[in-house]
Amino acid sequence: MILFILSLFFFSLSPVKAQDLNQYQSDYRYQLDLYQKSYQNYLEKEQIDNKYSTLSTQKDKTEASINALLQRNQLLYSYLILLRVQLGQYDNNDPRNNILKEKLLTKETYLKAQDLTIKQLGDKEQVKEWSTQFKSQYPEIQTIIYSTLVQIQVNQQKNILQKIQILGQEIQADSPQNQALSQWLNELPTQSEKVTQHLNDAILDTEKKQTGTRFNNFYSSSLKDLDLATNLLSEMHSNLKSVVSKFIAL
Amino acid sequence: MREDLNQNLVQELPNPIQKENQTKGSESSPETSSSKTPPFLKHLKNPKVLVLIILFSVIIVLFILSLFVNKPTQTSTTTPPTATPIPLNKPTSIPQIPEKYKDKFDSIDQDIQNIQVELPPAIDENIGQ
Repeated sequence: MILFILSLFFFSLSPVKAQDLNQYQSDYRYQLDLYQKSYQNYLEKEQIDNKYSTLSTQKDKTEASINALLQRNQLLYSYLILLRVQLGQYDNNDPRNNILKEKLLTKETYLKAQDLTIKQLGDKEQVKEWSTQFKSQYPEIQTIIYSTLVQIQVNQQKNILQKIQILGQEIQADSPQNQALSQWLNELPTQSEKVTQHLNDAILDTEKKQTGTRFNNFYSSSLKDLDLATNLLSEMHSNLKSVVSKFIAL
Repeated sequence: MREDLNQNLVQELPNPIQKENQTKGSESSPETSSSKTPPFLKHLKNPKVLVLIILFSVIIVLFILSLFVNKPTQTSTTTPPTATPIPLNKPTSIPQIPEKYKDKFDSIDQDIQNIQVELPPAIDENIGQ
């Protein structure tokens, strides 16, 4: 187990290549397909058991539910890995990245350990007990998942903002005498601040405390700020393009 | 006098039993004639066979009609003339970006297009409950 955690930790430190990301995406889609098939089978067995309710149909339903629980567990595990890989795409020294990576690793370890527990489930009561226990854990997993989704998009947008800022500085350095160009480029920091503010607001939504046993989804609220930031970035990019084509000779 | 008239009427009207026998006799004659018809024509008298033949002929007629209906006509491709002229898109001048910055702008553009995440899978939390 320690070796497994250590290997995951070292993996998290290594730079992520696009090829790796594609591989994890393929793995996740494969697991999604397996889960959907097993879930369909579980629904069919449940329907038959509800209709006839014999010892044989009950046994079939229990077996189908164990298989569906196993596939669901493995699907979530592969999804958490994919998120962690996406989180590691941008090295922007944001401490939240490492905090979320650690949280994801903890849940990956939990899910991996559950694989063995699910395989050992024998009867209907044991299945029910495990399922109830998982249900109490799931809101926490969901909180980590959606916080990571927001953080990934924040990373993506910060990376774009940084590229625009560097390009703006480069353009200014190439044409220091161009007054009209300089006047416009001086507006870049103000716009950058607005983008950063929206990104911070998106993160603030993820930090709201969860109350009750159910997961209160904050993602739609974060998404509004993320969309505002994206629109501002598109505007900055488009304006910079126009300014360059107008004030700088080919 | 009146009794005479009634007697005449009774004599003129045929006996109903005799009439019935006559009609039965006339019906029995086609039976003898049908025994001479070829065996495959005998099936035509079966109502099920008749219904099947009618259905089959209706399907053939519908199929032939569909061949004519599906033929593309020239009128379907032509658009009706509009009263107001359709405005044409005038060619606009595309801003020229210096070659030095082109790749960087394209890269940022690509990054903006790629802002997306894989949303979590929809799972059933109540399996086994």
